[in-house]
Order: sequence, then C-alpha cells, then structure tokens
Amino acid sequence: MSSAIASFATHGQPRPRILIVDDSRDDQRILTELLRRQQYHVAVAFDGRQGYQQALATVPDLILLDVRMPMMDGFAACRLLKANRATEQIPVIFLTALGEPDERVAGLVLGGVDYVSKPYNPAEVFARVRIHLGLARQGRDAEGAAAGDPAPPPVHHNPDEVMVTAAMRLIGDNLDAQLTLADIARRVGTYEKRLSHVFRQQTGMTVFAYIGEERIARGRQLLAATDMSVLEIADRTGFHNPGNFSTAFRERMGMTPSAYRQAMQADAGGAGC
Amino acid sequence: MQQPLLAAFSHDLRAPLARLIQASRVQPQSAGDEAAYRAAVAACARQQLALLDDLLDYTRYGQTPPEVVAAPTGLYALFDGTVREARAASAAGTQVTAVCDDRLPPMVVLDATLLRQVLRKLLAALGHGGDWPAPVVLALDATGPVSPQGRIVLRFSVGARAASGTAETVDIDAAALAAGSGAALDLALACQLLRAAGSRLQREAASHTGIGAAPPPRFFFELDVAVAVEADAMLPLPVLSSETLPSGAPRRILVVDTAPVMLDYLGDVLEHGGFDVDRAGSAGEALDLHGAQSFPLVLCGHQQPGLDAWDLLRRLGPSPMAPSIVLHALTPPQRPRGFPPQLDFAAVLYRPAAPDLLLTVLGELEPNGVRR
Repeated sequence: MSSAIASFATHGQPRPRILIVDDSRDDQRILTELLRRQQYHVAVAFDGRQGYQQALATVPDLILLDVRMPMMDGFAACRLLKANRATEQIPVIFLTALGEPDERVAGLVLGGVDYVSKPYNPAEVFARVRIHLGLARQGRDAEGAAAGDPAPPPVHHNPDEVMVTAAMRLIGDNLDAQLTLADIARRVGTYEKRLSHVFRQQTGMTVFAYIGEERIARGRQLLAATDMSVLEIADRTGFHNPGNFSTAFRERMGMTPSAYRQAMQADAGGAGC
Repeated sequence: MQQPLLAAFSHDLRAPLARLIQASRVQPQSAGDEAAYRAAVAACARQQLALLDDLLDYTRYGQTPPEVVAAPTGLYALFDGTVREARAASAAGTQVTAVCDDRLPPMVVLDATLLRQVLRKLLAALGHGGDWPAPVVLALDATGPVSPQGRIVLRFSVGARAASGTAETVDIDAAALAAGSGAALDLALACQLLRAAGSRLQREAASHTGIGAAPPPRFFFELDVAVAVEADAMLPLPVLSSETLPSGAPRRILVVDTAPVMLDYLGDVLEHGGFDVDRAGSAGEALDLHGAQSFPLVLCGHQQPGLDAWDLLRRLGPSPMAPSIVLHALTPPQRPRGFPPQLDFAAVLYRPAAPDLLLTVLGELEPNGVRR
C-alpha cells in the first residue's frame, strides 16, 4: 500500500512517530517490522516505566501499549501518560489478548482511544493506527482554531490531500445524514470514482469504512459524555434505529453501548469518591 | 462449574498440549515434517484460545446473561453465511447440506451475532473430537405464517439428517449437560445464549434400540422474530481482510442496483478489492451501458423497474460476448416459467453480501460463468 505514507515523504511532512511498548520481543519485532514497512518512524520500549519515560522524552504521535508487562503494566503507564500535560494528548491504543472484554473496557476507561487484539491482523493494526493519527491531527487543528492560535494553519500542497481532508470534515459535520458517495464527491469538487480512489490512496480505507469508524467514534463520545438515550445517539450518528447502532457498536468495540456507558459511569463514580 | 463439565473442559484443554509434547519428541526428517509440526502448533494454539474464550463466556454468562441486540437482518444472507462457515469448519469430506424454506420473509429483526454463535456451538458439538456425522444438515423453516402483528416463529435444526417436522423433542437442560459429554461446554453455551434470546435448546428424543451405535444427535430451537423491510437494514462495514485485498490487473464490472446506498456500498468494496467499477441505477441503464462497452462481469440487484434481473439475463445471456451475471438478491431466485434452460446466473449472493464473500465469489468468476 502506497497511500498516506508515501505522501509523508514526498510532501515534506514528518513521518508519524509511533512508540511500541511491549515486553514480548517477538510481538514487538513483528509490529515494528510491519509499521516500518509502512514508513512510520518506530521506537520501542519493553515495559510501562520505560515506555512512559520515553514518551516524555520524545512525545510520539501515537503509542501502542501492551497491557500485561512486568515492572509497570500498561494500565499504570496509561494513567501516568494521561495525567501529564506533556503526554495527555497522545493517542494510546492498547494491545490486548483475545477474549478479554474486561481488559478492553478498563483500557478505554483509562483514556485509551482503541484496542487491538492479539494475535495481530496487520490490516486492522494499520487501519486503527491511521484513524487515530488522523483524529488526533484533526483534534489539534480544532483546538488551535478555537484558541485563536496565531500559528498558521498547516499548508497542504498536495491537492489530493486537500480533497480528502475536506471530505473528512464534510463527513464529520454530517454524520447524521445519509450522504451518498455522489453527494460527498460533488461537495468537494470531484466525481465519485476519483474521490473513492484518492481517499483509499491517502488513507488506506474506503470512504464508507471511514464513515463507519467516525460514527462509532462519535457514538462513544456521546455515550461517555452525555446522558442522551441510545435511540437519540443512534439518530445523531446516522443509524436508522437503535438496533443497528448497537449491532455496529458491539461489532466494532466488542461490547454493547449500554455496557460501555456503564463502564464509563462506574469509572467516573469511582474517580469522584 | 459442574464437575462433569469441568472434567470435559479439562480434557479438551489438556489434549492439544499433550499432542504438542508428543509431536515435539519426533525428530523432523524433512522440511515437510517441519511445516507439519508448525501447522500442528498453530492449530493447537487456536483450539486452546477458542476453549479459553468459551470458558470465559460460560462463566460470564452464568453471572450476567448476554445482552441481546436485535437489528433488521437479511435472513437468507445470514443462513447462507452460516452454511458456508460450517462447510469451512467441518472436517474434510464431511458433506454439509442446507435446507431452507424459500417462502420465509427476506428480512427479520434478530441478534445475528448471537444466532451465529449458537449455530457455531451446535456444529462444534456435532463434530466434537473430529467425529463428524455425514451428512450434516442445517435446516431453517417457519412453524407457521406471519402473524397479524408481523411476527413469525423460525425453527432451526442442526443434525445428521433433515428434520421431519414430526420428531419428538426434549429440552436440553442442566441435568442432560451434567452427563458430561465432550460437547457439554458447547451445548451449555448454546443453552445460555438461547435462554437470553427467550428460547430453549432441544434435541430429538432418543429412539435408540440399544443395538449398534447411538445415532448422532439432532438439535432444535425456535426464535420468535418480527418481520422487517430492507430499507431498515444497515449495510455491513466495508472492512476487508488482507486475504481479499487487490492483486493483479483491475477487472471491469458493471454493478446494477436501484438503491443508491447499495450501489455505493458495492462500488466501495469492489473498487477496494481491485475491480474497475461502473454503476447503473436500473437494468435498462445497464443494457445501454453494455451496448456501448462490454463488461465481463455484471452484478445485478433483484428488483429493477421495468426490467428485472431475469430480463437482463435473457437480453445479455445469448450474445457471444456474454458477461457472467451474478444475482444479488434478498431471496432465492424463482425461475420464470418458460425461461431458456441454458441461461442461468453465474452465482447467487444474498443481500447484503459481506465484503469478503463478495470479492471471493466474484474473484473466482471469469466471463461466461467459468470458475477460475
């Protein structure tokens, strides 16, 4: 896959830096090799403490954090990362064993943005890394704009990249609408086939896979931060009915929306004690 | 956990490990031996992971029943997917037969994940220890018509023979599971899942005479579900596994469907899978496009205004440059009376076809319906 990554090098953007924290040298070697082949800049650490220190020193763009490690486990490391202003914005993706939903919930409650199950499916790792790097970049742009950041906005020299960024914003602003590919293409000044091709080339995902991910991400946000009903959230995120939303949410997150909300509320309650 | 169940689980967990130890003592004589050993290690590890998942689920569901999440689901697509999965999972040489009543409603509201899990567990129970009955029959029919409230009772059976409809059945309860066969954990999980869905697992009452081996079991369960319409359904996420990602030169395909959202979904998946896709919103538009440029493959939705998929097949089928036409339908196709017998669809996929299945089936087709 050529995609987003080729454009880091060809358009003068720095390559995203990813920190892998995992005590299993075999797992780490496999992930490192996979991500380096995708042109990411990869650094490694072997336990939570080392990972935290390295994150403080280098402030990577994203951290892949194993849960079970000696010395300091992934949960403890995440708590430190989220408590430190220098590292709190770094997206953390947990690496968890298959069939451990409690581990996944705990990781998300602690501030992890996502999880990847072991053994790894490379396509899934790439997709999740790309999504969260993109979301973090969008978040930084939005924060800068809200704070009246005097720094100039990033200059996009690549017209394809501009088109994809515009399409992503359009999708984010209209998640509750049933946009067709033709609608999106027209509104960013292109045609369906070209948008579809360029989107895949730039992000490695299809337009509809991206819409699906965005809908679930927004759903998570609303479940955690509001008391809106699942019905209302389904409506806000473009699902026809709550059953469809719950099914897609469970498929993507490994738990139902109500279980996710309960876990988030339990954590908030615990924090308040 | 009940003692017999624990004993069965303990055996299943230990047996692959014992096999691994055994295999490690054999000095590999060739690269083939080495490869076989690696494959055995991977298979054992997968088996252990699946067992651990089962144990965790069983313990968890014992405390809190699984939450049922029902959504509009294409019934034939779900059944077809389950049968394909069963064929892939069963031992080589095991014949898996599907018997599905083609008068069932195309869309119903149910928890497809839970249903697939139940069917997987029943199939695993049937083939426990590699002792698969032949043939395995998966059957789905309705116990009656759609009620005035728009509900229907679906009856599923999984077993060694087709269900006769008159077989006497008994509930599988805790006492039956306590007998502790090797498949007890699979059946216990199926019971937990069905209980959460308001149903119960049954098996055919034993009619064994005591002479010869006992016949393989046959399991039954029913689900009371609401009928839905396609417009309420959600399309699958177009996420593809690495096995179906594009390779080689792009192949042209014409996708015909009246629903713009379905056209988008299919186009998205197929383009990502390496196809060069053209779209048509009706069979008439497809004929116009095919007149101007020929397509080796056509994927056609079931209902078209004016002309339907059978008309498209009749018009395009006899030409020397005839494309392979794949039908993407909600229900099994009903051949019109007097339709030329030499013409047929190259394949039938049920809506909405999952991304990987779509690419696998279309990837195997050459023009004129020849499989690669």
